[in-house]
This record gives sequence, structure tokens and C-alpha cells, in this order.
Amino acid sequence: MSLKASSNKRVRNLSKSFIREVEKIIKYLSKDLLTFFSFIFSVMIILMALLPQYISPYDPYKIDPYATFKPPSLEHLFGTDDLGRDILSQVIYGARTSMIIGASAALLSILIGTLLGLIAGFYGGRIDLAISMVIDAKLSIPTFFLILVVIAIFGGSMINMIIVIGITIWPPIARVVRAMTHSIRAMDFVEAAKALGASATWIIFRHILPQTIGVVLSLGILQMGSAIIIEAGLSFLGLGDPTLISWGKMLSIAQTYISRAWWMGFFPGLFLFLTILSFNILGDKLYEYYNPKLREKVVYI
Amino acid sequence: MGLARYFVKRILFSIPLIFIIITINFILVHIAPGDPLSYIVGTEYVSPEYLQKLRSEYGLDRPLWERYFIYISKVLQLDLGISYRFREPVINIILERLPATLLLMLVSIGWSSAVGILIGVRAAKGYGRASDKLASTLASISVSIPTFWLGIILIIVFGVMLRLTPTQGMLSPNFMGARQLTPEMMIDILWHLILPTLTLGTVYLGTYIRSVRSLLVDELGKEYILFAHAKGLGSSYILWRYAFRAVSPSIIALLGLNLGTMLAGATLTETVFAWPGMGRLIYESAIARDYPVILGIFIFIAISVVLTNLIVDMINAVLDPRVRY
Repeated sequence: MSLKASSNKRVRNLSKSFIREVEKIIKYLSKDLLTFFSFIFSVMIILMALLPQYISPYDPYKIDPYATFKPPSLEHLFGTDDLGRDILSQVIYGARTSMIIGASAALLSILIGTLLGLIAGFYGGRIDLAISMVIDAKLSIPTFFLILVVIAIFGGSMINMIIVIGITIWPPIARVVRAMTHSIRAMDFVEAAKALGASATWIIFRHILPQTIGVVLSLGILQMGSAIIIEAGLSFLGLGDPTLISWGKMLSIAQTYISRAWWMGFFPGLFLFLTILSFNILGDKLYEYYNPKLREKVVYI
Repeated sequence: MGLARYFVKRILFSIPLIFIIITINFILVHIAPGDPLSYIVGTEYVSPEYLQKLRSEYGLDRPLWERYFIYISKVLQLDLGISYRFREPVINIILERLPATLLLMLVSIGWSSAVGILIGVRAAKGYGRASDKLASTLASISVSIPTFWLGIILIIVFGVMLRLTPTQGMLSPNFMGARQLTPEMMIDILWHLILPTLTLGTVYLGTYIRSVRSLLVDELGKEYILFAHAKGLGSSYILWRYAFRAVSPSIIALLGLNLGTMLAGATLTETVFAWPGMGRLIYESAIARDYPVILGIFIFIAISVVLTNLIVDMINAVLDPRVRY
């Protein structure tokens, strides 16, 4: 009974400190205008991805032979495409594809990168050497082409894309986590925990992992941006999932009608650009927030 | 003495990398769906005897490890197989397309690194002030722009609306089939190069701004800079002759490292502008499912990137004694 009560209290304390942390982060992000807009835009994109059926004005697949190549108007804010489909509705549904692939691939890369980084940084020695060599090797092989080759051979279904992108973009995360683990491991409290009989797994997951979460999260947001642009690039090259509505595919179709309907390519590309820009700015800011040393440097000039 | 040791060490690190790349390719070929022979004979009917003959001719009946060594030796002899689409050795097709890509990439690297360095230095000089924030915003925008979208926008504005520049290909139709490179032809190529290089360079401008800025900011925080001020040297003298010189090896290394990622951008740029280079070749091969060409280009690019990094590091080691240790 008392154990349960104390664990309840613990959970309440934890959630309270979590909310306080989120408040602090939002406050930090609201300090400059560009970051604030990035935050708002990201929330908007997430809403578009979660609830497209409530937001989009038309069915994105609905073909209307009487309304092909309509320029932007009040009826169709972003115009219509070669088959008379509403571009705005397609852009909204395209957000779902981008976000699912971006978030899942980023999550996968976080899992792999964090785990390998923790192991390499904590154990050091030969394990570290082996993992570091894999990281270096992966960094010198052109990522986009590796993904392109695999997708060209195995097909660009959504699940293939998530797996291939996820297992290709983890090295930057592993590198940072490895360095952090390495320096945390040398601290006195780790020594103390060891003296108290804590196992390696306990120290890694209970003491080191929580300290890396913030940085990993910010890198994850950056990775999400790169996963989204990789997916768009593959779809643009005609290697994506043919059944999905994707911003990259829309741009690829728009290319054919470039002199006839500029809106077909302009709007999906604009959303792709703003999404990646927002994620990049948010990721950078968050990284800065968790690395106070980066914020103010001394410069003698 | 130190230099030779560094060279050996660096070369020894590159060799396993090349083998890893070849091995990845080998694995991909072998787990790819379908019988490799079906790619050779296509959908035509052939007798089982002929299939058997082909199988032994291509060494497909030998054990896996033997095929692996055959594969490695073939790749090292630059034999990357035969294209299904062109019925020509892959390496010839790649080499034919290489100059166009190299031209596009070198011009793009040239202008974007020069402009990026200037903006990055300016940002570091005004660290924390308005010019720095402006440069950072510019860099964020640059690295976030999707290459193909920028290309399409430039085509719409300069090609369709203003009708200023050509938007497709590398040569005007009246020069096609010319045997020799005349001055008019070179001007025509440069004219066609404007939009693609603007696209590719803009996308990589941000990387240069960011790295130059952060490298310089770290350098400018060192005490010898403060000491140089105390000696009474001028700000821009210190900035360029002291700090910039100290970080320039890292910038050169960055140029080499960027080559691999820039090729990805080149693929997308060439696709938008129908630039007849390797990137366009990848796009066409991907659509035609011409696997030998796709895999051949991957291996060619990956090995070139490894070798370029090796060369860049070696140049750096010659120029900068700090790198050697």
C-alpha cells in the first residue's frame, strides 16, 4: 500500500517535472520569431497528418474531367491537377505520408543509433573501435545512393522505405551518443554507482540514457527532416510507393506540365520546403538548448 | 617521415572501405528478387541447355565464395557488367556521362563554396549580431530547400515566365552532332549551365556558411587571437591571415566530404533539367529497372568518394603538419 502510494507520488512528481521541462522548452523556442513560426508550422503539419479527412476540402483521389488544370481560385485554393484533383487536398494527405515515413524512420534510426552509441561509449576498447569503424564507413558511403539502390531493387513500398532510410541514417546519432556516454562514464557518480554494486545495464539505462534523451530528441527531429526529403527525392525519381499521395510524386507529375500549370509543383514543394525548414530550425534550437555551451561563445574579434 | 606514415595509415583505412562497398553491392545483387539469368535472356524462350551454358559462362553455378572473389576481381578491373537497356558495358556508359556531371558539380562547388566562405566569415565576424543571424537564417533556408523544387521554380520563373534561359539539356539543337568543340558551342553550354548550377549550388551554400562560421567562431575564441589584438594587428588581418588560415584545412576536407552528398543533389538537378550526366542516367535506369547500371553507378560513385576523400586528406597532410599527427 505504502509502496503504491510512493510510486504514485513519484509518477506525479515525474509528470510535473516533465510539464515544467516542456514549458521551459516552449519558452526557449518562442524567444525568436523564426523558431516560433517553425513550431507553429510543425504543429500544423502534424494536425494535417493526423486528421486529413476533417481538414481537406475535397477527396484527394476524386477525378473531375471538367475541372482539369484550374488555377488557384476560391473554389480550389491551390488549383487542380491534370486529372482535375484538388491540389490542396492532395497536399494535406501528402503530409500524412511524409510524417509517417519521417517519424518512423527517425525513430528507427534513434533506436539503432542510441543503442550502438551507448554500447560503444560505455564499454570502449575493441567494441568501441568496431562500432566507430562502422560509423566512419557509413559516413563515407553516399547515403542517398545506397538508399536509392536498395529501393530500386526491392521496391519503394512504405515499409521498405522506412526500414531502409532508418537503418541508413543512424550514424550521426550514434556518434553524438557515443561521445556523450564516453564523457559521462568518466564522472564520479558512475564510479559511486559501481561501488554500490550497480550493474552495467543499470548504469547505462538508469544513469546515462536519461542524460542523452534531450540531445537524441533534437537530433531525431533533424533526422526526421532528412528522412522526409529522402522520401520525397525517391518519389520524385519515380521510385516511391505508387499507391501513396506524396509531395515528391506530385512534383514529379508537375514537371510534365510545368509551362501549363505552375501551381501543380509550387504548392507541394512549398509545403515540403517549409516542413523541412521547420524541423531543421526546431532541431537546431533544441540541440542548442541541451548544449548550453553552444549558446554563447567567447570571440575575440 | 611523419608524412609517409600518415599516408600509409590513411591508405590502409581506405582499402577495407572499398571492399565493404563491393561487398554491399555483391550482397544486394544476390538477395535481389529473381534469377539473374532472367535479366540476361529477358522474356524470350530459351532452351534449358542454353540456360545451362549461360549459367556456367557467367559462373553462376560455382559456390558463393568463389563468385564473391570473381566479383571483386571483375570490379577491380572496372568490369561492372552489361546494361540491359543499351547492351553495352556499364563502365563505358558511365564514363560517357561523367564529364557533364563533373562540369555541373565543379562549377556548383566553385561558386557556392566561394560565396559560402565569404558569408560564413562575415557571420563569424559579426558573431551574435544581426549579420550573423541573417547568415544563419540564410543557411537554414539553403539546406532545407528541396533541390528539385528549386529547379522547378527556377524553370517557371526564368524559362517559362521571363524566357531568359534555356531550361532543358546541355546544348541547343543546332549544335547537336557537332564533331568539335567550338567557342560558340562552349558559350551555349555555359548558357545551359546557369539554371542547373544555380540550383545545385544554392542547396549546398548553407553547408559552407554553417561550417565556415562554426569553425571560425571556435578559432576566434582562442587566446592567440586575443594576443594578436594586443599586438595591435587589425581585425580583418587577424580574421583572414590568422583564423581563416588555421581553419582552411578543415574547409578543404569538408569540400571533399561534400562530394558524395552533392552527387545526390546532382542526380535530382539533372533529372529536372534533363542534364545528360550520371544523375540523369540513374533516373532513366531506375525507371527502366536497368539494375547493372544502377549498381555500377553506385559502386563507381562510392569508390570515387572514398578515393577523393583520401586525396583531399593527403593534400591536407602535405599543407598542414597538424593533420599528420
